[in-house]
Amino acid sequence: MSCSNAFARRYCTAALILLFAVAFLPLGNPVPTCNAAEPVRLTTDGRIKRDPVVWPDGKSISYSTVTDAGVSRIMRLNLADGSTSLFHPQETQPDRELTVSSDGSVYAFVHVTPDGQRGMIIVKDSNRSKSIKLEPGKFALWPTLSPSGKRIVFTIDATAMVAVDLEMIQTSELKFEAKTGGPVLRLTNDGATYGDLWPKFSPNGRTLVFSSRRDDDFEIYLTGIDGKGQLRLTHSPGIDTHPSFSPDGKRIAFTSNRDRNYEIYTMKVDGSDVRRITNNPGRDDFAYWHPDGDRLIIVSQRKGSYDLYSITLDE
Amino acid sequence: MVEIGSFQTRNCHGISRRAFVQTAASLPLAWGLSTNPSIAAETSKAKSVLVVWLWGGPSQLDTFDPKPKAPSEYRGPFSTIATRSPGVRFSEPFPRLADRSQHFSIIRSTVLSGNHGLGPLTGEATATGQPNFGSVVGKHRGGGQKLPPFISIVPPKGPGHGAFLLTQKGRGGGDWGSAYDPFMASCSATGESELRGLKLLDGLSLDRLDDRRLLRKQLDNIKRSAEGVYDQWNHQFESAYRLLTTPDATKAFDLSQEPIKVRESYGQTSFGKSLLLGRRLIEAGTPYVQVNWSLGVDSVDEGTNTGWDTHYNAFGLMVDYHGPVLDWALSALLDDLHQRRLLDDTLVVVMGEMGRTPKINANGGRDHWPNCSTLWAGGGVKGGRVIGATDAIGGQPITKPIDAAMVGATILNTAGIDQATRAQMKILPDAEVINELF
Repeated sequence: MSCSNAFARRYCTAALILLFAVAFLPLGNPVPTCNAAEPVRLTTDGRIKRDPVVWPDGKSISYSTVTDAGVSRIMRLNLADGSTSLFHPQETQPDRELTVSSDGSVYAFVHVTPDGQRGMIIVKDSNRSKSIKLEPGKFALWPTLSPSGKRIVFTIDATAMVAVDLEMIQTSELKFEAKTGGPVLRLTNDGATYGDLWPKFSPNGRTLVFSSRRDDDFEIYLTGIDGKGQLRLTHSPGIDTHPSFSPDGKRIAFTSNRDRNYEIYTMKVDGSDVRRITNNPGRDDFAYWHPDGDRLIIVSQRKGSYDLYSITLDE
Repeated sequence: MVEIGSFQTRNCHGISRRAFVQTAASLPLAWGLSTNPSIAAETSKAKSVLVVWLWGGPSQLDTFDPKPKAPSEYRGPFSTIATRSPGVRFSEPFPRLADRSQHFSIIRSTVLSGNHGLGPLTGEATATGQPNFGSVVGKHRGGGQKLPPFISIVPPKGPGHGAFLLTQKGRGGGDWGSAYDPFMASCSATGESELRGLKLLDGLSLDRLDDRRLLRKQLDNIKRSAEGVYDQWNHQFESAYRLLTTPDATKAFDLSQEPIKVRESYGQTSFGKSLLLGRRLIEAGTPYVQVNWSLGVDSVDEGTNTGWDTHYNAFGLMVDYHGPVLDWALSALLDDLHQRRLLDDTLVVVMGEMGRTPKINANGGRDHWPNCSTLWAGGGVKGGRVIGATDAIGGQPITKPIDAAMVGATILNTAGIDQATRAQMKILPDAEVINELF
């Protein structure tokens, strides 16, 4: 551009200011990035991992991984010495997706049948010295125990969520098909256009947060434990998955690819105040809030490896 | 690290006859049996072919042919994302591939099989005994290389279900016989290669193989327990021995030779490391490599046995496993081939045996469907394009269908096996080449 007179110079100056302003406008993601501390690596084997759960005493973390033999297994990471071990060393069939009650006395997980065709839920209750097998016909995924350990919610057939009142079950096994009744309560609808996945109980046990494709896009929703009062929390164009409550119940961590890469975000329980926690070229996923409320445990893909990391939050 | 495994079916007299025959069948007899030994790679558009086999059948709608305007019971939960190719959009689980779309073309009108099987790897909807394209290339190119002409890389076998890739028709020589079967290798998530075809004897190692006296003693023992097939086996063993005692050849199987950054770039998954091994084998001169995503088709669990047969939980699996693993590793392969200038003379084809039903079923999955998308790169294929189109729900091609025979003719033609040669070999003599790719 040639500025040959006063008018042109003023024009040029204004244009340059405008150009400068436009160049530095925050045109990208309007979501603020939280100033979280640098993540601390907790595991080093690099295998694919998912669904970390911090045990209530804060001494260990369980997670699912794919072993060298090519099957999913639940592992336990001892935080004192960094050692890892199979959670069920005697078991040979795949298991995954551990969930624990708030005092650690009850836990549950998905057990894949030997033919590899079905997933069932196994509940271990040390208070009642009892093990309960829940077989929902086809397969069950993503169990979450209530803080009291008296109730469990999971997804059947990757579509609808059901709740099971564990105190009503006197036997060691409960088989059920699509019907509900007795200890089983269907929380959400079934069908091809639904798909309510990855539920997690709130710390007070009164609500559940989950991800659903009911609005043609994976978004985060909240529901009462009776399935009533369902509320959509996110409205992003990307995939929003794997929600998890903070210990005080005020915030929800979740994964989103709204910036074309899977990153960890948090938001208030009404869906407001969304903050991006991670900014990593690899995939960050499966956030679980540490019981101290100050840290998130996540699976992060860095340098091609998938490991557990701890992120300390600034606030 | 290269490992020579042990064979588990021995009896008290040494290796069992059954194990002996299995071993013999797994070795690359075709190595050195070319029908055209003088044919060199320079007569081909592509020196090498790398087929990435996504067994089980990925959904066309949830990968490279999204239908955002279809009714919700068809389109699924994924948004579409822009690619490097103007006007071309992919499903959102594949952002890295979208960023590299200039390197490849997608055929959206591929119509392969309506059911599981390896038929599409032979040019058929259902395998009848025709040889795998790799066996055809192996027979054509034949000997002279340091490495077997057709190598198939599989994940380590886990317990339980779904390992039938190793036995299905279409995996190898078919009616031509086991002599043209692939040389089998496997690769773990940490990059340890295992030469499955060389699981000869308990305790056999590279060092011990170099001990010819010990080797001869072992061979004599085997001869006594397997009269009748010894001569055939001996020929194969010599080929295998040649592989193991050729430093350059064994190096190709050793991923620790790669810079750490390259190993990291493929991701710590069996599939990722198998692609890296595939690239090394191509670079070392192997004419045909098939990298198998899984040993079977089932998809209930996550792991190396997990195929793309997503009748259940298709979208959860796509988010948690299929999407991220494929997007990351395949993107790394394309980058690596491009940076090493190998893409020009390496044809890469990514395909399953079919696609999935456009309509989502009651179990949050999609069922079997012949129409699918296939990805083509390198070997003269022009990048950044989409070939063919489907209807509003991704169900039927609205352009000329591309069938398994055309896929085969194109692969073989690009590998230097033209129509006349195919006719001579009685392999897909009348099938059309997909000229729009070039």
